[in-house]
Amino acid sequence: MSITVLPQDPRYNTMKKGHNLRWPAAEDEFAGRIVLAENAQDAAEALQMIVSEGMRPTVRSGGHCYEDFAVNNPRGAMLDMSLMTGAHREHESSPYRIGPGTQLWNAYQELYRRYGVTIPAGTCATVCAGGHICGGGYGLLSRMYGLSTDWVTEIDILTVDAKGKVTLRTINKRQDADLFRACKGTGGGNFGVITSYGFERLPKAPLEVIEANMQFRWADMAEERFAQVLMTYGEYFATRGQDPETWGLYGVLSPRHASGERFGMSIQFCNTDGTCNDLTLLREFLVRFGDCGGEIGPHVPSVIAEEAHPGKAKEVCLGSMTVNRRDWLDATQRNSGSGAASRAKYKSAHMKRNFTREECGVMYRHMTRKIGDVNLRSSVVEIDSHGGAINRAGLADETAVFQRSTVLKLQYQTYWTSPADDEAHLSWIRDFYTEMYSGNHVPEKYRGTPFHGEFYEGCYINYPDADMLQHDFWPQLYYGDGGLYPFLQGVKRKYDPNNIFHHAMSVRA
Amino acid sequence: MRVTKGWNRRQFVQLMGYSGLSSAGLCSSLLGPSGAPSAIRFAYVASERDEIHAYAVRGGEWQLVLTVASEKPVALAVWRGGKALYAVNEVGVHRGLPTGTIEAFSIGADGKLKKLNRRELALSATMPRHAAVSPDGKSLVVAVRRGGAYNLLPIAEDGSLGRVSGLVKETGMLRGEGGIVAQPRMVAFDAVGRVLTADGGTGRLSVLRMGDGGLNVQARTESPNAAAMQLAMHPKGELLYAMHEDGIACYGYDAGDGRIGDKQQHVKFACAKDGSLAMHRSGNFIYANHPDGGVALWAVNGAAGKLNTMGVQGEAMGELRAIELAPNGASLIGVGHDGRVMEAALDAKTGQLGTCALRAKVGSAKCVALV
Repeated sequence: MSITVLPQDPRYNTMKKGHNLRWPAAEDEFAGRIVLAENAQDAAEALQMIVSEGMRPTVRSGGHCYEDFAVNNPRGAMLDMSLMTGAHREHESSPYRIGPGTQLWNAYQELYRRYGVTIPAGTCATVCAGGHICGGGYGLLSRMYGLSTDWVTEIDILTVDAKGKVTLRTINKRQDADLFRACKGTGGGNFGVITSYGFERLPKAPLEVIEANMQFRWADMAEERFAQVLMTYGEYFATRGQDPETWGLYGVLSPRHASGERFGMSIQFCNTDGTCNDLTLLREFLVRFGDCGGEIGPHVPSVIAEEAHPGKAKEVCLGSMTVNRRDWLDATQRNSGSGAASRAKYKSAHMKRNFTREECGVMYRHMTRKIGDVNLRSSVVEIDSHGGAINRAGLADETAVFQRSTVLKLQYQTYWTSPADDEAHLSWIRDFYTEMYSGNHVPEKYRGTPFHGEFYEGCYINYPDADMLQHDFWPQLYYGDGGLYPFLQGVKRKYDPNNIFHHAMSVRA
Repeated sequence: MRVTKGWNRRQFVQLMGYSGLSSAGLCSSLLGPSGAPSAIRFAYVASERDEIHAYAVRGGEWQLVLTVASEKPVALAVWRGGKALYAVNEVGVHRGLPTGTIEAFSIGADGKLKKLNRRELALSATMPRHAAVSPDGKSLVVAVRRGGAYNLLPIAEDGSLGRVSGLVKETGMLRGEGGIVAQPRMVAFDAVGRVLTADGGTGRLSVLRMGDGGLNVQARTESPNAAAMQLAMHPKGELLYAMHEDGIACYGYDAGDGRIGDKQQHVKFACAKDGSLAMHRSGNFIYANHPDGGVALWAVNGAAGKLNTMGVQGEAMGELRAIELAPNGASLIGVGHDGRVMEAALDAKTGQLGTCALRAKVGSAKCVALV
């Protein structure tokens, strides 16, 4: 039996919010009720009630949606899947099952402790599988193992037919194959309510990893040196980093606004056999930054882990550099932070090539730009290494993720607390992003966006950015301009003919 | 005017609602705001060329007083006897979001329109088709064709629109191998403020109730084999006429419970694609635009409201997209596919159409509202 939380319930005020406190934009836009399901039957009955009463359902698992797609549902019902947890399999021959409400850290822990396997998913601990996997889902092991959605072999999903009847489907490559493909990368809130993900097999978790942290002082950072850092990093992943033997090396370079004094880069490394016996590749990567003025050592904080203390790590000398060796599960736990809920704005870009010198200049200017007294310390571009197994041939056709030529994935982020600072933060990130993609190499029609072409490969739907709705080509930013979006529109018409599941950036049939 | 025993004038006004609805029969035989039958003071013609033309009517002549911009106005609704006008914008995207919109205009003493605001509908409420003002003037209900929904918006004291406060999201139906989606086509109000709806996809007729600022389904009647496009209520409030794609059906209506009763008659009639239905304020005649041009009319007989055809008249008006009856029931306005807006005199006793006169010429005219 599902649990319904109405506005008069003391739990409502806590549960109505998501992680991004900007949403909804107005108090009267919160969902009229929150319905928590504990199993698929609960979810089906709750969804049937919602649909039959003519309400709009939105679906939430972890509440980390960057936009207002779930929480903005006035007089509607938000179906909350956070109690449908667990990562396990019934017996050895059956698939692993992960519930949509399973937080990523719990999934890592359960899968590792029970079976020694993992999913190549993200570092945000309280993000849940439900939204993460159906939007693609990537993390520190993705260059080695691909996207989390690439491993999904079966999905249980509730759909609503033309007559409004809720149906539980088990979909895979043989059954409702079109819907199955669509659920692997389109993003949440499009076709139905996912109640379980199935995986016939999952990759073995690494035994251990090496963590290398480097930091750069803004005081030492003229534009030329800043460009050198970015281009050294980008050059590696655009060239050498495509070699399969390097796929165990994952980088996160995080230029943070200059008011924060420093910014850093963190590397997680293991050999492709899951050990750290040979560190030649890691050394080769790190020495490239020798002229960049970076500081490396066990005392340098990670840009991924929230915890500064080294904990169970063992120091390892790489020539003149010192890095940390750590059990993989320990490293994963330390890297599984979520940060506090706050006001935030995000943007994304997939890059197919290294940074241009002009792009480095744009980033430098905005990272050192001041807007009155506004605190931009929590404004950062997370530059994740990409490619590797993610870009394996054929995956674009099996999933709804078309970005399979990306070498760097950028996540623009700015965080703040007071609504009074909304405008300053939003204008900072919008101006920055627009200028970043307005160079002469961007076709005029697509200026201001990383529209896919020679340099870019669009945006990431799990980092949705409603600002992109100003462009009539916004679906192509997220799904490409090949046949994928028309395919998704066909799936939408077929499995959600009433457009029951919709939000600002859902597939428009 | 003949007021049926058991209904006072106030009830009658409430029954019909205060909304003057273009291309909508239910409220086409309105009383004026004072309760007395009135002639046309102002007329508003919506055009597919993204305009609304405002006319002042003097001595039967229409004088253009203003043309205002309006994006894809498909239906017009009048507030409180002519203090404001609402235009239903049949758009699928507004500011990048998948939603239609409604524009609110105040109506000046000279009939000129001044924009109050433009309000977006709920997400996915795309391509709205029709709207009606509640009898108390506090709410606007919108039929959303593409989005398969009904939206409720509050109306402020100045006539401007608030944000959507309630909605009903419809589902379609299975037919044969495939499914049919809901396409809400028309909304109107009964005597006590319930919302009556016609669905151009499923053929469903529904009764919705408003309460606590929201909207809920109260009752439904399924007509799965024929899309429902228009509604017209008999002044007695006990008979509801629905224009389906294959004819006009008469249903009993329980005003006390807000329930649509059994179908009592179904007159076969090849309805126009943009079918328009209007009942004369006397309750004795019903009119529909004929697909081949002119106006088809029927006499409404007996307590059962049985329709007897009176043929087709007003062929000179040509093929019409919408018809509307003057508030005093003395004439019928037809909006032609050729842009002509014609007025035909009505004989209140016989229901017959008299001579037609050209009142305006509006390129790509879509509908008309009368004040």
